[in-house]
Amino acid sequence: MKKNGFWLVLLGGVFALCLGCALLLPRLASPGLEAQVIQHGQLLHTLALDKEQSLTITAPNGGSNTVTVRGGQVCVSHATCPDQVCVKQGWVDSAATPIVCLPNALVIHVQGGGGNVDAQTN
Amino acid sequence: MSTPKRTDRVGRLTRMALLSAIALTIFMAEAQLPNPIPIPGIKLGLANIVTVYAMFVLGAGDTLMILVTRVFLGSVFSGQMMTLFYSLAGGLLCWLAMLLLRRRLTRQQIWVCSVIGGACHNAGQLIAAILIAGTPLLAVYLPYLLVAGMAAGLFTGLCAQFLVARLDKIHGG
Repeated sequence: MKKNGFWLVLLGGVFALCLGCALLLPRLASPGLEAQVIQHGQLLHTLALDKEQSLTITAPNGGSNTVTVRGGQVCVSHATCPDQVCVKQGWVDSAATPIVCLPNALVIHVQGGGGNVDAQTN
Repeated sequence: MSTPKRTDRVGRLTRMALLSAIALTIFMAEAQLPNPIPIPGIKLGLANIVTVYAMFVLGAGDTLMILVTRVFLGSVFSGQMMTLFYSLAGGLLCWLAMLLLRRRLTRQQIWVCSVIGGACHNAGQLIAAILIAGTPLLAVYLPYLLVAGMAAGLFTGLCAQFLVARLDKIHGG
């Protein structure tokens, strides 16, 4: 039972640390200005977030994702994969949580901003 | 002398096939449930109850074969071959971690093995995702995936631990 206590403290500590990071990181991120659309390591598009637009990206495996930009945010509005995780991730405006579609190896990462962010938002 | 050996082999094969089928059934049943957490790569992973159970009752080699069979057939049946790479990377790292830990733990500490295995599973999955998607940006998901992996590992580990204890009681005459 003494050994169980050791593991409990060790694993509990690691768990608390990760939970702290997971809760803290989104608060530190500030809204970005553009969204990079990356698939299989290649930067396909850089979309300005202040311009309303929508485009469909087809992966080499035949699956596709529709990326929509509106009001300084970006989301995947439609995807052909069965799990729909990227669609459920919803609107994103910062680098804290890039939108990911694992089946299509697609990543949408918001960047830019920082110092410009105050000038850009009213 | 060859007859008992042969029966052993058939018994071993049958047991591994049975456990693979159980794991695959659990995997497919879980895939039908809607995932409430909108973070890529996170799920309960109930099929790993079988993996953890096999690790402590059958041994590492048999566990690896059950694991690879389930991951491969799971990808085929769910129709998403891309997930094969993520699942395989996670599964192998998890298996390796449990292999190293197994001998240092008692049967009352199976949950420890599973918590660490779950964390390693999600870390392996993330490494595969970074390599396949080709961008290190995904590393920001590490804390989320570790938290989820440890929580899911605790649940599946306790399930496996209770299962081992109950089956010991049945068999241990």
